[in-house]
Amino acid sequence: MVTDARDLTQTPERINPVPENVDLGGYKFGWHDKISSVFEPKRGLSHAVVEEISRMKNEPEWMREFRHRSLDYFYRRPMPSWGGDLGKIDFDNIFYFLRATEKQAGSWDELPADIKSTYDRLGIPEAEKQRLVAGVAAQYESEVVYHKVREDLEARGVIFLDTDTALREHEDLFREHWATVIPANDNKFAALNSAVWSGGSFIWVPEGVDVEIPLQAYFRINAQNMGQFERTLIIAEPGSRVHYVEGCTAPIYSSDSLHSAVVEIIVKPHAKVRYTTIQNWSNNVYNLVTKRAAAYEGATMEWIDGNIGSKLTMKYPAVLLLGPRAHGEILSVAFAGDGQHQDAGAKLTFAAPETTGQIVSKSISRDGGRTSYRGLIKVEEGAEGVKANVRCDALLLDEESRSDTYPYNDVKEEDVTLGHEATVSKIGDDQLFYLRSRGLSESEATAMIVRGFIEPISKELPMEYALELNRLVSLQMEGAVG
Amino acid sequence: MESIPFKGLDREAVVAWSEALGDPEWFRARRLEALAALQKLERPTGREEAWRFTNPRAGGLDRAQVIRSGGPAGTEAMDRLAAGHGKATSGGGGAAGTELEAGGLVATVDGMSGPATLADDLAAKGVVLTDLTTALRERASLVEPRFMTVAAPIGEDWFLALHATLVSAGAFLYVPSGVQVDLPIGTLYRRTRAGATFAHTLVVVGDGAELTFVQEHSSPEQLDGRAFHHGVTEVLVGERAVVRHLSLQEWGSERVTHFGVQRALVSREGRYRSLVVTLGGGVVRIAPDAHLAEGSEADFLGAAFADEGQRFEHRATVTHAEPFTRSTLLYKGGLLGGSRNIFNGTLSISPGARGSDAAQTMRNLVLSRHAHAESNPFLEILNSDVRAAHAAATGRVDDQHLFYLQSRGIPRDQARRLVVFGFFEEILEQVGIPAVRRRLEAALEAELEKEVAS
Repeated sequence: MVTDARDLTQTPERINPVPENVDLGGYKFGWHDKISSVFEPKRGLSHAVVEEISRMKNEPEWMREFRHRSLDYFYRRPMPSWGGDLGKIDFDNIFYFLRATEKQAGSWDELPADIKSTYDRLGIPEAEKQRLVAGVAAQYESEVVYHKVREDLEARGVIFLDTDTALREHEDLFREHWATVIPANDNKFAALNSAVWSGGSFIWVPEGVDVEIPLQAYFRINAQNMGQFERTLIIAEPGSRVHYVEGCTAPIYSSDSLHSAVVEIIVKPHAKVRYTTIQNWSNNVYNLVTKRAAAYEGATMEWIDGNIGSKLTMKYPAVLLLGPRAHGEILSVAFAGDGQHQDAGAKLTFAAPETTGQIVSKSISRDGGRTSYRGLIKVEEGAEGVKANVRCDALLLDEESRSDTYPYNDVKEEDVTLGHEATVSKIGDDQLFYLRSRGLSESEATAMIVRGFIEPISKELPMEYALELNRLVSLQMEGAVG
Repeated sequence: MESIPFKGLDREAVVAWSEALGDPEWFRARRLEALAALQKLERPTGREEAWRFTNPRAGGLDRAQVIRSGGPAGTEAMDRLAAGHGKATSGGGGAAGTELEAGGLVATVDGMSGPATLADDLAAKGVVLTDLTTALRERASLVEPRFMTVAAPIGEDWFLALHATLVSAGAFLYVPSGVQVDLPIGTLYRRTRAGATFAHTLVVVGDGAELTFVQEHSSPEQLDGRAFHHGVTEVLVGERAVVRHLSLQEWGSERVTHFGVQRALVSREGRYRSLVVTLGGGVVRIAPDAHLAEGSEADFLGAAFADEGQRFEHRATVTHAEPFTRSTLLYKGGLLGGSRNIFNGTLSISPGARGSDAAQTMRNLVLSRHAHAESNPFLEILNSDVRAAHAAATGRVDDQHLFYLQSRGIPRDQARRLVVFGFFEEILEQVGIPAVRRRLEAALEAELEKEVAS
């Protein structure tokens, strides 16, 4: 049943469809498709909505109970009083679940035309066709609509599914790891996600398997006042390696949307996981995400986290270093323009001897935008020989913008080496003068300096993402100097 | 009326308290204004960012009597302090006390202040030093416009409103424009018995004047119950004036909980130097804060040495409100046993504060595997034409340093003490007053002796 979606688009006039190949100079992904949902959507949050989601997905009893319990945690927990301004989120005006197609498509051609055109614009089929990526999952509204895993990976036993399917097909494996890194009651928004989650990626890499090329997922919010609550669970068995990449977009609506994901990663002994996100939500999305990895003996976990879009982002990728000699690394880049607040950061918890970690954060504020680095280094008692280093650099491009640095350093052990350094700077007149004397315009010169500033992070990205990041920065920089 | 219960604080109780304290009319009105604000403000629960490190209900305030006079021990302490005639001898809970020569002194014991003493030449120059109660009555024209109006406004938070409602003692110090006060002025706060006290220090320094003032907090090692001390210090620094402020927390007993608010408003081209030293007390939370007008400067220094069972928090804030302001912060902590020390520093540069320069450094030296150190250097930058940087580090005594000293024949214990002493040297060498410096060295020595003994 395809429902009439008029109630979802009360103000269609305000949304300008964007023709192909037109440079918006602003938010490139700000078109939206005609909304057609299979399920009669309701605004607001209640146990009835949670029951409905679970029933429609035909979930096992334990998951249904988990959702209801999580909703109670959500109700009980107060709104965070720190970070960004959360007061304007209207939880009763949000759709907690939309289903865009009747069933998941196995190949690109099976997708409905409007969804296909959305992802064409995002560039997924190219990536898929060119086999640049090992597997692709695309999430549209609440559920994964397209999925493809390369045959050779399947043959080696790698599981790459959307989370709903994984629950149906691999329940035991799923249940063993589910919510073990981020319990439902971890924080208010993790509780919300736990109650209404839908979609996301589930990855399981068998012992010793090296997935050489990145697995990718795209998430897109299409409907106004939509909440997207994907849930990703990655399990890397001992000695395995995997790199997961995700991108996010949403169209521009006149009222706000909410993205509240939970990402849990389990990196077993001597395995290595890298997780890369370039978040480019439109500037009316609240992006409140909990991301945490547990790294065991000798394992390596790396988060590469780019925040370009959204109205408010509060996201602090974390690594719990639970086994000796585990290593955690977080590279974070944030860009805040007019009306944006990027409250992004990183957390490292050292809970075992000789664990090491590093955080590098680069933030850029312009046009009255605000970036905040909020980070935590925590060393538990008994974690001898820990080495941790944090470096935060902020670039302010004008007089109206703001940059904050909130590093927390919490040490309960004697034998620790911990360093933290931060700087705040602006673009130097001499740098600009030099580049302009070489024939660059002021905005080209500024963009070049900014690209140089974030280079330590962009060089860690897969090539197409590095290009994308540089292009987004250039777009953001247009009109930055005047 | 020498005490009122904290519970059931209402208009009637506050009026009775005010009458017992002999408030002038204007101050009674201010107390009631504060009570009204208090009833509207939310009491911190510990969930607030500002209270995430120290339990705002520490100290047993809810069951406490608010007191305004000492028992026999208090009277004796007061007599001893007052008899000093400008020379205060303060035993830091058994730590080696040294004499500090002072130009003036106000002693407050268990929420009641004695009469001030002030050197004649300073009085002749127009310097005013009185206890708070006297100042409220006799110096109203100076005190009324300034008491908890701008530096620490009554309505800002619950504790400030509570303070203004219940304050019973403290000191008022006024230095006219252009006057140099060569000898430090001392304000002593001592606790000898259980209960809650609210003490206020208001310091007004005129344009181009110069002042050093010392606040000491002490108690004997034994107390008959839990002592809660809430102190608010407001320092108004005139244009081009120089103020050095030393706050020394040497509570002898761990039954003391001390929340201290220290606010400095620094006028154009003024200079404020704050040195906070915390060695004693059970729960101590000191919040030094400077607000800088154009061309002014603040330097914050801090040293803390925490031992088993002690929980210290130092929460510094510098607001660069106007252009061409400069600030530095250097805080160092040493931690023994299962102690905890928090350094929290916020450097905030306002949108108009171009050409400002701010730097903060905090270091914790963890001397025990059960100790818990946090250093949180925060920056809030709203102007791009600034220099701002911070650094924090936590580490232990360097084995190489120890090895070197031991290779020179110095026993390990002594070598360790030398290294710790060296760690604090950076702070000590910036303490301008030799007597204060000797005093700190002695206190540190005593702490380190305790470490070896334990």
